[in-house]
Amino acid sequence: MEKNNLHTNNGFKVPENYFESFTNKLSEKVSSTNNQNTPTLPDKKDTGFKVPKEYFTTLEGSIQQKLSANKSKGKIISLVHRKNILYISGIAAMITLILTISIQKKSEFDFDDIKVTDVHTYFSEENIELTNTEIASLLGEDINYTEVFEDELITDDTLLEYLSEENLDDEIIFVE
Amino acid sequence: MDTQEEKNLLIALQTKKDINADFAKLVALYQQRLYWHIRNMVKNHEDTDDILQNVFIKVYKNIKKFKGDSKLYSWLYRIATNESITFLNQRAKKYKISNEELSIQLIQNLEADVYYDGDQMQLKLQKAIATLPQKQQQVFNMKYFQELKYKEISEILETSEGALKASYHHATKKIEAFLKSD
Repeated sequence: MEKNNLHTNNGFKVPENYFESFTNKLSEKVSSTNNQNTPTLPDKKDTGFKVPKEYFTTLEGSIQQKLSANKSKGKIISLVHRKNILYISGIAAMITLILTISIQKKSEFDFDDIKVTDVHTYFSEENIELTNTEIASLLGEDINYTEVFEDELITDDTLLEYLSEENLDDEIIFVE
Repeated sequence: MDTQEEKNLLIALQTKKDINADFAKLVALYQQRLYWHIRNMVKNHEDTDDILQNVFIKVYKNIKKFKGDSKLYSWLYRIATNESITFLNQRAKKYKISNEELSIQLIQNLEADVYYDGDQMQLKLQKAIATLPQKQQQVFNMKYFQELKYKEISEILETSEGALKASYHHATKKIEAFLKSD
C-alpha cells in the first residue's frame, strides 16, 4: 500500500507542507506540555558546563604521554615507605637500648669486683710475662727477700714426706 | 552499550601484546561519557581532567586483569565513580569540611568558573543537587543528565533497580521542592 494514497479524494484539503512541518510542531507541543508538568526543571543535558576547545581531541595524547612517562620511569620502590620507617626505627631503638644497657653495666663494674682467683689464673696461664726486674720494681726496694720465707721453715721430716708422696721422675733431684 | 564492537575491543585489549591502538579506540569510545560522568560529580573541568586521565591509566594497567564478571562499560563507570568519590573525600579532608559542605562550596565556585556559563536556573538546579545525599546525587546525575537506563545504573552502582527508582524519585521531589522555594 502506498502511503500517499491512504487519503481518497473526497474534497477535503490540507494546507501546503502540513505533513512536512507536522513532526516539528508536534515535538514543540510535547515539550511545552512536559514543561507545564515540570515547569521548574530546565532542558535535559544542558548543564551549563563547558569544555576547553579541542579537549577531547588532545586527551588521548595526554594519556599516552603519561603512560610512557610511567613506563620509562620503571617501577620505583620507595625506601621511605611507612612500613620501612617502622622497621628501621625499631632496629635503631633496639641498638640504642642494647648500647645503653652495656654502657651502664661497664660503668658499674669495679676493679674490686675481680676475684683474686681470676687474677691468679690469669697470671698462671702466662697471659702476662714479667721479667725479674719488673717484678722487683713492682715489689719495691724495702722488701727483705730473706724474710719472705723465714716464718715457714720446713723441717727435714716434712720435706721427706713431701718428696715420698710425689712421683718424681726428674733425675736432677737427689735425696740424701 | 556493550556492543559487539566493544566486546571485540575487549578481547583485543586482553590478548594482544601491543594494545596501544586498541586502547586509543577505547579512549575515543568512552572519553566523553566518562568525562561527563565525572564532571557532574566534581563540577570543575581541571579536576575532571585529572581524574579522567587517572581512570584511563588505571584501565590501561588493569585491563588484562579484568575478568569480565561485569560488562566493560559498567567496569569503566565504576572506576570513574570510585576515583571521583575518592577525590571528593580527599578534598573534604584537606579543607577539614564535611562532604555536604564541600558540595555547596563546589557550586559556589561555579559562578567564577570560566568553563561554566549556566543561567540562573541551571545554577539553581546545581545548588539543589548539592543538597542531596551523595548516592542520590549520583543516581540523579546518571539518570537525568546522562540519560542512563536504570538497568545500566544498577550494574554500575551495584544496586537494585527498585532502590534506584526510589532514590531517583526522592531526589526529584527534593529538587522540585528546592526549585519552587523562593
